[in-house]
Amino acid sequence: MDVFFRSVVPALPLFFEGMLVTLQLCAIGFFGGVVVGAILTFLGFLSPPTRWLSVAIVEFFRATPVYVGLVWVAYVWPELFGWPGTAYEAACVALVMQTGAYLSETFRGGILAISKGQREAASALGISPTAAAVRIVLPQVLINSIPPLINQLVVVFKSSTVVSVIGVQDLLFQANAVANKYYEPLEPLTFVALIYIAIITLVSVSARGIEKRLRARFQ
Amino acid sequence: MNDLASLLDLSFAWEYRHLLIRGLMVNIQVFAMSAAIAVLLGLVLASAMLRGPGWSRGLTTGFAEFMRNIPEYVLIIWMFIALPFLLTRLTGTRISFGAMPTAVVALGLVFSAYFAETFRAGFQATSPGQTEAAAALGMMPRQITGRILIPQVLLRLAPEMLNVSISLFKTTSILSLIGIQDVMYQASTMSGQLTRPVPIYTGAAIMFVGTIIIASLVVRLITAKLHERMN
Amino acid sequence: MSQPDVGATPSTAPIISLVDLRKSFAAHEVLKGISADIPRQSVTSIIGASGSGKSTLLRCINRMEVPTSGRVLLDGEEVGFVTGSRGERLPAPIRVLASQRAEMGMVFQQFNLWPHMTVLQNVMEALLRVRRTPSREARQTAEHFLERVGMQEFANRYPARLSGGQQQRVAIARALAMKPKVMLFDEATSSLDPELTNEVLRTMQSLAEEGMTMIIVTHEMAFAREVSNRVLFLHQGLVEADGPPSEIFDEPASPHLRKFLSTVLFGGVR
Repeated sequence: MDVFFRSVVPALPLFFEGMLVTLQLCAIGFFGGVVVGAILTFLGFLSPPTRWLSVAIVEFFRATPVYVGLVWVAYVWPELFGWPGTAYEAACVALVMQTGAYLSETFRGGILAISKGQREAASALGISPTAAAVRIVLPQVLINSIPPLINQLVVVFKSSTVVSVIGVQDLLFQANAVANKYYEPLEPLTFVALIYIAIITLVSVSARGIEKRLRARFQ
Repeated sequence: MNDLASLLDLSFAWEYRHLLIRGLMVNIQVFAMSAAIAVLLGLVLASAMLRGPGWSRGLTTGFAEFMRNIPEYVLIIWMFIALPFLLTRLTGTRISFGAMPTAVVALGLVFSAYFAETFRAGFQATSPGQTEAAAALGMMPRQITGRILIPQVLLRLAPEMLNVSISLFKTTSILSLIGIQDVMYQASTMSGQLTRPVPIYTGAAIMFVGTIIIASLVVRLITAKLHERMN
Repeated sequence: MSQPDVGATPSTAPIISLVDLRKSFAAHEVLKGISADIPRQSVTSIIGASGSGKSTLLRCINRMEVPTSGRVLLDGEEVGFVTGSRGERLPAPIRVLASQRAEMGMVFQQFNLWPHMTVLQNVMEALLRVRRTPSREARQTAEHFLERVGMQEFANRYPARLSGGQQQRVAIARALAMKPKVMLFDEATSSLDPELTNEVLRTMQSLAEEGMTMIIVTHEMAFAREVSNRVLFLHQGLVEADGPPSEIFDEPASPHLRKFLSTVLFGGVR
């Protein structure tokens, strides 16, 4: 127990910094992913050539494990494109692409799931297709997408754990640093593991609460 | 431009394909072993969740929840580095784990939770009328379970089980991070030695991704076939 | 018919006897004491409003529902019970109950064909597993009964490809293949679109004409009138009227029966 106080407690500021980096990274990855996903979905519906492009990108990144994508973005892209320059940038890109690819499928499914009948009813009432898209389809897609979105947030958190390998100073990186400093890996690693679990459980549980409330409201 | 040419010069990766393939075999090995553990454990968990006494139901649900919420990499690192320390302290004798067994167990535990969820949903979805008809014809309970219930459940669950398996295979990409000599390990060693990371890493990525894309397509085909048959 | 014998001979004894059947679900009593004897080769229709207990009654016969009290006799043997070495009444082991059920065929409202097997496999399955019929014989029997219901062309299709009426006919073949002593029909046409109902009703009618003992829970009044020898009208868990179709449908005595009949539209077996 005193090991805990010797190794973990003085390192709390470091862990806090690491957690900030993790949270920042996940926020960028998630929201960036939402944007990219929306773009990819839009491209998918726009025209056959853009659909091909969108499908190719989505299928590629969905089939790529996040670590493989990370390494590829961090070591190959700089040679080819001269960018990204830092490990942090590479991590952001990798997370955004992975999230975007998954969410693009989610959004696409959400749009297709809005029954044709509703769109027909709108046009029978004289509502223009654009207005129907914005006022009728889009809100429902957003609402239906919330559970998978939150699920994807959890995935982003889990995926962010590998970025320490390319040198991003996230929470896990700090845990390893502290563990190596004192040759006592048990306390720091356990502590950090519990933090990750706590964050993810929190997100999961609130996701279920939100889903329940949504269902009660719109069912 | 020079580098674009070297990216397209995958022939470089081709020369070293043997090493990369050997690495991929390690991924497949670990995948197979942890999948076996995950499926069996998942079945056990699922039956406990559906039919066990109250306390076992809570325990297994909590376990599954925990395993779904923990990042796999964190669990692997913890089991590989921290756990031996804990056990050494507790037992007084020096304990350490091999990398491969640790990875297999860790992945098996995490994915047992996903399989358990799949099994649980599958069993609950079978309509009771099927088993009633079998009983009315005079079939015995064991026959009903074996000939009517389980085949249907397996057929219905096959797509989801295959998807979870693909997910598991993807997760084996982090094995190199605890020193297991999988395809990513081979790629990083080679790129270090040969100072041409681009084609090597690209080659490794293509292998991984190629395998997964082919597997996904096969799964999609199987799913479509099954849907046709059962719906 | 020749002169009735003195004392019942096996061939005139009722095939099914219901003795004071009662069934409660929690606090709600659905069957309040039903007794009836079903003669061989008769066609008995059970009619009544929803909630009157019709399906529950039928399902008590092959013990898909367990009666709270009362007895069901199949050919003199009590369903679900055996006699112990000292003559006591013991609950039957599952093996005995299963073999009793095999003597009764049941057709369900939801057809309940097994989706992972072809039509032919569906019909053969019980023969193979329950009667342990050798495979070739089972196949021949199955094909015979599929032809009997007009579904022989669909032998290698999967149920999902068939219409409701076709599925139900296969379900009938599946039950018939076991050569049961009695066929129980639990609202066999209630899930079907009107155009599909007739093919099933015609199949059922031809079974009746061949002399199969049938107990039919149904809403199809015209069918009941035309095909049955006897109609039981259930009201709130009791048999309120029991007689030949002409009496039940043309001269209903009970006020509940009159009310029930007035709310039912007559169709027709074309």
